[in-house]
Amino acid sequence: MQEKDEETISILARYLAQIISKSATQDPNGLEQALQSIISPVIAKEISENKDKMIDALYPIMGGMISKYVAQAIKELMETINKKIEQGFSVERYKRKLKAKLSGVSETELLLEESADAHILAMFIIHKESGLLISEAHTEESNIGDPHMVASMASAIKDFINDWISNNKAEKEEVQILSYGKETLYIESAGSVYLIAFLDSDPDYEMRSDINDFFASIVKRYADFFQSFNGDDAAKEVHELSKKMYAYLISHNDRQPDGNNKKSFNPAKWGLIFLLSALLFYVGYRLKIYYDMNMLENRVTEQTGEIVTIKNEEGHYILKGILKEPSHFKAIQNILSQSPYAKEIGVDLSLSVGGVKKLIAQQKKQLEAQKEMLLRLNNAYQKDLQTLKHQVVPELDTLKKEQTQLKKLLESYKNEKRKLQQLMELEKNLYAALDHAFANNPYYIKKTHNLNFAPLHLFEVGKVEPTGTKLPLVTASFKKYLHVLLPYKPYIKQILILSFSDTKGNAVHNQLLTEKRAKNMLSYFLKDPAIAHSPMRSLIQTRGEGEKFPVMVNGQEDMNASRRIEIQFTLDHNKINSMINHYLEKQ
Amino acid sequence: MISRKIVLIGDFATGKTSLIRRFVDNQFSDTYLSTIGVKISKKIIPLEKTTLQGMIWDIEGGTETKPVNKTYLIGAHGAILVADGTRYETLEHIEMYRALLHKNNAKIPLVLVINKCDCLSDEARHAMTEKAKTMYGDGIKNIFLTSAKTGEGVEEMFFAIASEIVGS
Repeated sequence: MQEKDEETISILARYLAQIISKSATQDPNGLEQALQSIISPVIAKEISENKDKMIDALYPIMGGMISKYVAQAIKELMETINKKIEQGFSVERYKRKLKAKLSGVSETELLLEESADAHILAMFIIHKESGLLISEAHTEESNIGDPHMVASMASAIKDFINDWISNNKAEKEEVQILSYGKETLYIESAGSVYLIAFLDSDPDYEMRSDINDFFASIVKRYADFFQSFNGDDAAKEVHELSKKMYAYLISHNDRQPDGNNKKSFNPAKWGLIFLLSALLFYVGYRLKIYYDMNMLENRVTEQTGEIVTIKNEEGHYILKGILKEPSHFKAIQNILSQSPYAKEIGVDLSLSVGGVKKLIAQQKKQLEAQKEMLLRLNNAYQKDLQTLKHQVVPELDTLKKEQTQLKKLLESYKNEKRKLQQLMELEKNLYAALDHAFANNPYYIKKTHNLNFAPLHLFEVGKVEPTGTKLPLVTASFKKYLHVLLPYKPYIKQILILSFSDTKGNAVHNQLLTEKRAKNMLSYFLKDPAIAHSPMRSLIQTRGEGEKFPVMVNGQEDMNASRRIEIQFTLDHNKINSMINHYLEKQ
Repeated sequence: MISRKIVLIGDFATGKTSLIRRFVDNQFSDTYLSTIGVKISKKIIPLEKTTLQGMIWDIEGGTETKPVNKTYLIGAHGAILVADGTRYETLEHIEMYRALLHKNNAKIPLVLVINKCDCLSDEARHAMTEKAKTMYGDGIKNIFLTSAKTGEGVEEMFFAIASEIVGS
């Protein structure tokens, strides 16, 4: 039997190829349907019963395909990176380079990071059963089209895939990521709804977690609304959801490295902004200076007709030019002084040959004019001088005379003032001079400014001739007295030699006795030539005082002391007073 | 505005896609049908008291070897059962589709459509209508003879299912 079957199979095999080939030409649809109805269930059965065997059988093909697609994906990624690197003069490249330098992260890593940054373009919340859109939010740049249709279609696709997965796997799983090109749909299901996020690239684990957290918060808050959703998009919850999703979408995109995140500080970005700002400012500053310098050059040319250039030489601006007209030096200096750059611009101007000749001619002319002017001035000066001489000299002489007279008057006045002063202080000065001269003389009486020789007992009882060894001392004292009084001679009325007697005996006798003793004392003094020829001689007079002024000691007369000689002077007060009055009147 | 999911279901090549193309405002490419077995279209349907936004799911026609994807039927608020007037067996298969729909939602409003009526003779029209009438009830609230080619009955049919959905 078995042999018969093998024979039958051998015969059928011989003709089967021909039958299939013929059917393929005559009725391709019929053949396709016939084969499909046989082969498909067989393959499905084989996969379900011998999964491992099928995997082993398919791996050489599928593994190769997977490797091929992975390699292709890496190639595309590298191409993207290379393309970005090759964007030679783009601002983005320099931004990236700067960021790499500032952050210490390589440019390739940054590019990979950029490649991995996913932005959410739109978010849909879809009713799971009906596939109806409950709410959605999308960015302005997203090109979603009709969100209701997109939601339904996405729901259909998800259902299709889920259905396909559940047919092929024992465990029920749901599709979470759908990618097409760069676009990606991230799907998260919960309760009666699911959320679909449309992204511009695959979300990483962190981003998925973030979306899930957001979705969980939405589901928790609106669970009742979702369950009772009746397709009415006028419900307030629909708008609330839309707002929440939009806010999330914007905040999420702002958090991305290339989003416009204003909350986080990005040193590379701000560093770049700062450098660019500084560069712009510097360029602007340089351009302004360049413009101002050009304007200055033009102003010089407009106002003077001279061609000048302002050049920057080793950081200093120099105005250079060869002038035709010497007077333009000053004009250019004036223009420069009015410029805000006056202190920053040096001047290096020279004259052309013609200009130099002009300058020499001008200077010569100026010198001649100055010379002529000086001559004129000199003549005028001489003339004025002569006139002045005639007018001034006599006046000067008069003034000199007046000055001399005034000097004399002044001298006279001073002299008289001095004399007046001397007169007013004469008595005081005289007494002071005597006190000073006779400070150590025991016979000088300070109170009366007299000389009293009583202690010397110059006269014996009844005798008229002075005696004793002390007589030279008396003469010396008298001579000194005269010497001190000499400067005051014009104002001294007299110098008196007074003689006193004791009270013993007759008063008349004593009177006569004292008169003789006074005269004898004068005679003794005159034996000295200095006294005899003294200018004061004419003023010396004698007088006998008799017994009128005896010397009393403890109530009894000292007879020896009573017989004494005293010398005193008298000032001419009338004369002094009249002179004082005379000077005072003059003053 | 209220959105509702409306499914079109019926055998392969009964003219479901053509009916939608005739009626809707906005639709995806037909290529989706051959890739994932469904195509979504949208139609704003103004009714007497409200306006309905119909999200119309054109489900790939079933065959003996490839049944329709039941997942697409879940959550439908109304369904249009489409048969080809020129193929009798497609009308017979309507029962199967009704059963599928009732499995998910026993109260789902249904409309039965005999399409391609422009190709039918009066006799054939009558025969098909009579057969369809035997299916009336049990969810089917209306029967329409339509032609995607001439437009006959198309709009009326869509408005009818919309009214049934809103009224249900």
